[in-house]
Amino acid sequence: MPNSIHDGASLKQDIGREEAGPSRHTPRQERWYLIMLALVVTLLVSLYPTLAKSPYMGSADLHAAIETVGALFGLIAGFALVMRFSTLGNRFHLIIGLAFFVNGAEDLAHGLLSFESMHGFIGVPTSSLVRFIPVTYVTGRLMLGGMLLIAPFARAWLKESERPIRETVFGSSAAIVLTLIATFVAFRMSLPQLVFPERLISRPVDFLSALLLLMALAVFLREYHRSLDMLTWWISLSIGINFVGQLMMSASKALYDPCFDIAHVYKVLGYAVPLVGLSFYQVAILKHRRIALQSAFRQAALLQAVNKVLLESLRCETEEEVAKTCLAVAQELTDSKFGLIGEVNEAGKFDTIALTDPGWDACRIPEMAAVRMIKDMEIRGIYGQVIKDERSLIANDPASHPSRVGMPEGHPALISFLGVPLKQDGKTVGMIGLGNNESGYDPVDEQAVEVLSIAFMEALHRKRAEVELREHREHLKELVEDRTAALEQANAELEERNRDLDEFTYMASHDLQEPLRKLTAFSHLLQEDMQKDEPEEVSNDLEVISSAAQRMQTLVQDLLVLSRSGRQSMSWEEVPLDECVAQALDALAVRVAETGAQIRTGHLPSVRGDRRLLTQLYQNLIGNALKFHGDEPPHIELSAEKAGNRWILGVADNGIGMNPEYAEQIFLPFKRLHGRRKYEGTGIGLAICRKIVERHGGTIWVESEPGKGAHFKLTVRGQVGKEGE
Amino acid sequence: MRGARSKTAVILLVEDDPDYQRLTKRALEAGGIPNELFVVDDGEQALDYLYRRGEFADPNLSPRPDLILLDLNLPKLDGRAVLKTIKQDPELRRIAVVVVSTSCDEKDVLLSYELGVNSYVTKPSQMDSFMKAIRDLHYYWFDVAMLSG
Repeated sequence: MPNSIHDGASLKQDIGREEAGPSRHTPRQERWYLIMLALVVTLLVSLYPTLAKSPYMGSADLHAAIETVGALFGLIAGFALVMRFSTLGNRFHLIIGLAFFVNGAEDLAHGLLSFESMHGFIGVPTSSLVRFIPVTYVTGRLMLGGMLLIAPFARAWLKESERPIRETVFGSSAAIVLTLIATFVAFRMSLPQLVFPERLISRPVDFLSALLLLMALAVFLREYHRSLDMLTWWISLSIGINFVGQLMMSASKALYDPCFDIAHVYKVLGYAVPLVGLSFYQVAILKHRRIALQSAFRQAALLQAVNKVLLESLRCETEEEVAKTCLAVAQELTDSKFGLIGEVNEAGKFDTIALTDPGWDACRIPEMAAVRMIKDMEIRGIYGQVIKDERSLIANDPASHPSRVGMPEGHPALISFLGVPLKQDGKTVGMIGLGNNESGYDPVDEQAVEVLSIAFMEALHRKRAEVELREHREHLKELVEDRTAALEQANAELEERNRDLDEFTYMASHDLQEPLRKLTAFSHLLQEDMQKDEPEEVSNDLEVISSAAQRMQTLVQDLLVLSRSGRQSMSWEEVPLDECVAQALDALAVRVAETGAQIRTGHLPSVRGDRRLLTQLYQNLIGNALKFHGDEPPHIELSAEKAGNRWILGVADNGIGMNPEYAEQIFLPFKRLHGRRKYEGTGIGLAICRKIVERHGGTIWVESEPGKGAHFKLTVRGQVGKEGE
Repeated sequence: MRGARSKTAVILLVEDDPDYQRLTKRALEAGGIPNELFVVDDGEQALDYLYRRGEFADPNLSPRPDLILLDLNLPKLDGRAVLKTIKQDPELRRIAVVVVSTSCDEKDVLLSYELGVNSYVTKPSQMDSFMKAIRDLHYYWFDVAMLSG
């Protein structure tokens, strides 16, 4: 099939013819066959003038021999047709077969009786032979014409037999009985004169038989035209020859003249023709059966392939896997060496979804180039034509294909190609390409891959929908989880804030009320003491009142600072901590001097945060260390150490320290560990520190033991800066 | 009750504010309650006193009190914790405890009663009412003394 391009249309025609049956002619063939039949009949008739003038004379023995041979052919043809019926059940064949069989039997009797009349082998009386010989002959001829005439009608009346063997026996018996009766009746009848040598139609009985055959021929040709059945044509040919034979016979002037003998020869020919037809018929059927079997195998293979694509795609995770499965199946089905499946992308270029592994192996294009090429390929060349024309293409000689643009270096040599478009809603969205079936692709391959492509698109859609659904579900789940987490966090923050606020309100009301109550209480006391005129008590009362007022002011100020450190907007900048410390020490200068404190500052880094808040933080922590000193003057050490990518900042002192169990509550507002007589303070300072550290995304804690000083440590968010490296 | 001091109440005042300590002393004097007042600054000291630990080891210098006046908001160990310890101790639980607090928070009042406090007095801002409270304590103490005496 060099350079042949098939399309779906011619395939359909092929299928159409096959569906019509194995032994049918096409309408075009019918014409030729009819002409052929006419030619044969004409040819046989045209011998007449020559024969009429010929001086030839045969012999009785020759006649008997021809008659016997012809009879045997007739019997065999009849037998074969009847056997055909007994296996296939077509009553048409039964009647035709019996017609030949009966006629053959009569002819056999006729031939053998002719021998007997000449040689007297078994001593049949001559008087009987003289009647029997023409009777068998005439009966046979007339029965053949009559039975053939009714056969096509019988075909129209009778359905296919369900019990052909029984009917064979019954039909054969009936035909034999009928023949015997007909023969016997004819034998009993006074025979009319058979030969009128002076007339053109010298044997009218034979002419009658010829007319019957002519009618049968007409009926058969009509039947042939209707069914285009091959065997009907062959029977028609046989009838035609027999008709000519009877015409010749009817023109015979004497026994054994040329017309007489040629008529017998035509009879032999007429009997032989159905046998030839049967052979052709058998051949056609066998051929058809082979094709049908092949087709059945291919159909089964195709069905299996479709099943495989649909089933295996269920197990595939991705659409690439689905494509790969389909490609492997298509390749196996079409006996291809490699293949590819791809789709047209949004830019109108071709993206390969899957290449079969042998395709990769055969492809020796350097990997990067190949990867680049299998995506975003220009739609052109032979495979491009599949997509552009939106129909399948077979190129069994791709090298000389008109669409050929050549292949990149390293591409495996292409000896044959089959491309089938992938269609979605009638639009071509991609292609399955297969290559290198060694004997070339045929329309059946094409059809198979077309069917497979539908299954593949189905599987692909299913997989895409599935993947989309799964992604959607996961996305939704993630979304819900994120939202839930965010809500939970917001809720937790709110709860904590609420708790903080509750506690704060409680503590604030308690601690703020306290100096107030004291003010009122001592005011009354003052009044009393003044009435009693106790100056010492009075001055004492006044002192309490004054200190309570002072304390009230401090409390309000500290609360303001706490509130501000928690709410005020923060600036985020690179803050060198040593500058914060310097500023804090500035503010604490008087107390540092009073306590005689020694302060040692290590190398402090820059951190990201709010300069003012960080200064406040150091001021409070250093202030704390100055306040809770022991007997010795305070010794304070400021440090910074790296822990992973964070700084741990420390403020250590040598003061009174504390029991570790109070390490947490000291950071709560208004919590004090010491009576106010010993250490003055509002209990807010460390709460402010915690708030500042928390706003910097860090934590603060203290490591301490009673009498051994306290080491406050804190972290702030943010990477270790350059200064720390 | 120790016979020698049967007419004198031994009172332990747990109060960190020196001003209140003075105020309480004066109120007790003004109320005419014969008493022997011991003052501690915080919850830890209160328990040290009661268990006679450290500087309070001498029973003569630190006698078992008949009445404890307890502030709730104390440095270090909180008044609530002190109250709980006292009321769970089979020995100490018999001592009358009166919470004297600036807090009039319902939570504190309920918790204190749950812990077994004998009375709850809000630190008054009016001298009069404070005196009245102390006098109430006086009656109370006498009732207890009479009943147990």
